[in-house]
Amino acid sequence: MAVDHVSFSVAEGEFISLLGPSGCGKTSALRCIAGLESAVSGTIHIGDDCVVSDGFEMPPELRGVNMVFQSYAVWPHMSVFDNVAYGLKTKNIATSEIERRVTEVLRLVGLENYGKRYGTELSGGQQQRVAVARAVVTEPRLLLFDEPLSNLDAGLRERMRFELLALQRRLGRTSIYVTHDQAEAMVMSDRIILMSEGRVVQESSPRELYERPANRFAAGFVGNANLVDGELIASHGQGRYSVRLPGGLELQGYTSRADWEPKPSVLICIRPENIRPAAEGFNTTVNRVSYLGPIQTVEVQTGALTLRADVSSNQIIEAGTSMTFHIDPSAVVLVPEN
Amino acid sequence: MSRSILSWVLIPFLTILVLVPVGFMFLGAFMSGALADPDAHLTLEKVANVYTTLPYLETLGSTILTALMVAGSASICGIGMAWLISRTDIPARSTLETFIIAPLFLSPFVGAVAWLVLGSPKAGLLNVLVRGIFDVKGTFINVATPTGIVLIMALYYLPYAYLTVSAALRNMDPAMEEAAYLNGSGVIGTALRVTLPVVRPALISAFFFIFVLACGTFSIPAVLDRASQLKFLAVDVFQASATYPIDYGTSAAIGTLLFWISVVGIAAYQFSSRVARRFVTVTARGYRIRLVPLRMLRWPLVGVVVVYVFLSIVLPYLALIWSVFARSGGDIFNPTWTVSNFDKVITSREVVGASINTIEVGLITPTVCIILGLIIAFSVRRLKIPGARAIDYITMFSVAVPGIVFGTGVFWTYVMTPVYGTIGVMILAFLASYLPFAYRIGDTALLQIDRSLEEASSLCGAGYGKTLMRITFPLARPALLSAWIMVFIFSIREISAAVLLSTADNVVLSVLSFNYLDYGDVPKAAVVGLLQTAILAIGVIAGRFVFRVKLSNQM
Repeated sequence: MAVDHVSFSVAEGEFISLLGPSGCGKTSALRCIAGLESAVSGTIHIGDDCVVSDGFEMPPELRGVNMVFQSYAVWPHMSVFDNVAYGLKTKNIATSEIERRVTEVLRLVGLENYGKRYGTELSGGQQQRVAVARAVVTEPRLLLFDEPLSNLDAGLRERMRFELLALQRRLGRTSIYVTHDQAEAMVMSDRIILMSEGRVVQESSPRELYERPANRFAAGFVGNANLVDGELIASHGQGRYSVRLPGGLELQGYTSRADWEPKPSVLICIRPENIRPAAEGFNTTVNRVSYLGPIQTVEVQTGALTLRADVSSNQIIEAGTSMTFHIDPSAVVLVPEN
Repeated sequence: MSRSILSWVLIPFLTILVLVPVGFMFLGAFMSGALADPDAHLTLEKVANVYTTLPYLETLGSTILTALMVAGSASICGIGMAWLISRTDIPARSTLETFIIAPLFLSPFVGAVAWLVLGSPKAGLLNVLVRGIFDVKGTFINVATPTGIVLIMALYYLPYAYLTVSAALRNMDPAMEEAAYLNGSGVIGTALRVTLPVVRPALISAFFFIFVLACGTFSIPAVLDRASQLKFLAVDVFQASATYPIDYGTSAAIGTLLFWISVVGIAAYQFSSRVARRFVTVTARGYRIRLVPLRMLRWPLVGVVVVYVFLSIVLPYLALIWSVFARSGGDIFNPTWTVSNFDKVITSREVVGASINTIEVGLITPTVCIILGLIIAFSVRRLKIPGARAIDYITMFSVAVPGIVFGTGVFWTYVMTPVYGTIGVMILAFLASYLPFAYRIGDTALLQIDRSLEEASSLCGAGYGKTLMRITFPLARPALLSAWIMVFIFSIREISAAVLLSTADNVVLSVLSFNYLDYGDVPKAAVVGLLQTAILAIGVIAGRFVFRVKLSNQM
């Protein structure tokens, strides 16, 4: 089963991402919403309409939904103008009106002089804009994106992220965006729905997802994390606990989920940027330093415990030396296994 | 909702078109006479005769043996030529390839007539020439022998083997052979120990394909085997229903026997092509493989190919032209030319009538076939209508049915209906025979159109019909056009399905030529043969140059 018991809602005007590794079911879920695939059971509502329910499935052309495909799907036998105008022509809109709307949308995506060109004459980035133009010109009540940027090179991808986001804000269209790139999801979304193996793992804002991951998978998938199995020592109420890490280091931290009671053996998540050099704290030996430009990644060891710390590049750190670090309790997160 | 309607329409329609004729043929095998005969009753006599008595078993044996030899020789020569064209630096490769494939677009029947003119023991042109030049008596070449028939059939089936192996060679990762060279293997060694094993599955599939074709072949044996030295099942089917004593039941029974042979042959073919597909390693690199330099062997090997082209195309057509335009009874070394033969025949009412029929059939059949094939492919692959597997199976079913068998079945099905005796019944038979081809082409064309192109149309508000018309069809058009031309060619030259359905009103050129041959009038048969070739050539040239169709990719 590609998708199992997936359930979520999207508010009007919201930009949400379906994030997850390949094969997690995010594209399948998107295609079910679009009507390009059938669900075995379940219901889907778009606006006031029930588009999928037991035994009933509204065909895609009637759902008021449009999509930007990963392969762009620009029709090679039509010009850019005709590609974008297609959805308006099927609605039998007047030619002058079509002309006006298509020109306006092409200007919106920066392709106003490309109307007469054919799909095969455009670069990847330009084809992508045609795909976006075609999807928004019909003013769908729901806009779907199926990993639209994954075929672009890194520099173009970053620029297009902001452009897509700006476009979405401007048009105010409810959008569901599928991606496996967590940086992309973080930058663009109001809310992220993290999926794995056909199920929803966590549904929250980008900050929530990063700072309070719901389980081991969420903690490991988004950003970098030190994931360590530790022991519960004491509970201090209101979600605050004391824990002991392997090697004897004792810290205080908080649970990521209010509804969960940690067991004696618990998973601890500490983000590398929160392990800060300080005058007072715990001592470590530096194993390795990797210079990345703005930061340096330092692998440190205390007893049997190895941690990764992201430290500013301002000070020069050498392997083999000893360093003292401090971790704020708010950065120590107790995370459920699943 | 509309998906089920398509199933409700397609399944009965295809069943009637494809399965019912075969069913009726089986029924006919158990009847003592034609269905119209009031005394006809069910009997096992015909079937028992055909399946168990010696004369028929002998025919079965000789058909299978001949088909095996044809398939074997065509395959061996085919792989040789494919290797020459794809792997060596032989000059004028694309020209040579065009000529090697050319026999596919011509009529084997016409070729057989030409070889009759060339190679009959007494008056054959080659014999006359040799006798004249070397001043000897006796027969130099006799095509009416088993060897002659095998060789001529192999000549016309070689292109199938060539195309299959050639495609396999082209799809093979060149690195396999390069690795062999780097490891010290020579040209012959690499060809035998690396190339051959990799293309062997493709070769075996071509072998079985040609075997099935050769078993069911009617045209060449019917022309060359006048003395009935070699017995062929397909010819027996025809003779049992067209010559004295007329025995429709036996004709149908032999048809069923042929049917089983084809089914087994096709099963073997499908099995080996599945294996062949596993060996395809299409890489995205696209740099060319190192060609084997032929050096001294260059021109001799070009000569070999030229000899093949000469034997399959040039010589036959020269013979036909001679037969038509040379005054009969003249000396081969001092010919006098006349156009009166040609004129008389071309303008005769029966030839004009047959030409009109042929062109009508040639225009209607491919059009309906291609449209139907696309609709079926779209319904099965994209819409996934209920019963898609059944539809796929029924559509491909006639691949296992040789033309003569299908002709028999269609005869039994429609003989008592008003459509019998019109070109309509021919079109029905041809349509069912070529539908698998059109369906496969439609399927491949659809595969190459990314689904997202159609899905985007859907999301822009277009229903299935609009999407099919505005997106799918325009994008599939090049493939469909070349399929149209291929079915056009098949329809023009088809004789085995046509010959059993032919009555006074629906004679087509191939059948007319056959009738002339039956009366012993070879020059008239030759004229019609040339006319048929002219129509075929116009079709191919129009396709190549007007529609820019590249036909070699479609096989």
